[in-house]
Amino acid sequence: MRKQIASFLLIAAVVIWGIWCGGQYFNEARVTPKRLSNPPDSVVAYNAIPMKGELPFFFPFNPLIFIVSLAAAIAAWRWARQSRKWLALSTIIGFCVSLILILYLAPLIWSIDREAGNIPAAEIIARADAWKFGNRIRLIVEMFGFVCSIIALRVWSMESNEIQSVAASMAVGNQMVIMENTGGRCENS
Amino acid sequence: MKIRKNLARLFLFIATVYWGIWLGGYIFNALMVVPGWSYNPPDSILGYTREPHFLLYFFSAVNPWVFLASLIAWLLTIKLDTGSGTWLGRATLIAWIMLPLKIWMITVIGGLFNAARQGSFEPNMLKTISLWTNLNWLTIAIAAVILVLHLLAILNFNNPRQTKERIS
Repeated sequence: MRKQIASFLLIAAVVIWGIWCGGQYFNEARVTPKRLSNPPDSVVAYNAIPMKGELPFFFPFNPLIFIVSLAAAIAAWRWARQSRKWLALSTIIGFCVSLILILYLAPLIWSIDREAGNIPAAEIIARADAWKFGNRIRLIVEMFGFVCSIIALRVWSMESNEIQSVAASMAVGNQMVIMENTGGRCENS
Repeated sequence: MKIRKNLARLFLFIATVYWGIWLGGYIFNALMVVPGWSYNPPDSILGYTREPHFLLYFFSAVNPWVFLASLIAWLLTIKLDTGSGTWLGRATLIAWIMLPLKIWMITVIGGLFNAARQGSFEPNMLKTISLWTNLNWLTIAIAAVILVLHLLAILNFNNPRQTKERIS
């Protein structure tokens, strides 16, 4: 049962990582070039676009990449050997990415949104450049975190199968020893 | 056979990365971008397509390759003794069934954006946008299933194939 929970959480972690990285890549490819093409005017114009039924992406998924990775690492740790480093890496990267977004990148982009048009354009341009640079670094790190989560699943499945087959063969061996000692009678407890 | 197994593992890995990116990108698009251009067409479409400045591509970067990566990975597992073949087969089948719908959606959205740009947008096209938005969510749900099937394939890659003889 615990192994099934671990499998489920490892799969959930990869799905969340994939959604997060795909969303960030889409943001970098399609939204940022438009929003920050010519700040502060492009920021003001982008923020003036009315939305119908817009739902949040960053808040629900950002903490989840760390929480689900951590839960998967805890649940899978018992059967993990070499996969421990990949489980730890994806969890640590998830934590760092969440922290950097909360402490640096999100406040920076919010300040650009809030103050575009109110403070000198040179200041907004400098902040936009800093955000774009930071966002690209983060995207590369996130892609690595996503790859780590897939490797963790692959290596863990291999190891847990090996441990299971060793345990099964040991159980068969013990059963045979019991049968030999009891003259062929096997007592199932 | 070992080279084939390693290649199958590599393509399964690539397909999984692609489907994750595909799913995340389309979810982001549906949550944060589609509500912008579908708010008040054709004006909102014109506002969205003005001054794009795109440096990276998303749709053309993922759409053909995601389907091909799954197909290649599945074809490579066919003669291998691996439990991932069944999961990959299901994932590839669902993906290729979805492909005509995706092509139709790309054609439709291209037509709508062109109509808005050329000033030939008609009121009945609003229904098409509504249908497209709903179908977009449907493809996202299908892609989530496909991604999970790829992950189940990774999970069962080192297990032997489940044949009738082995089951009995």
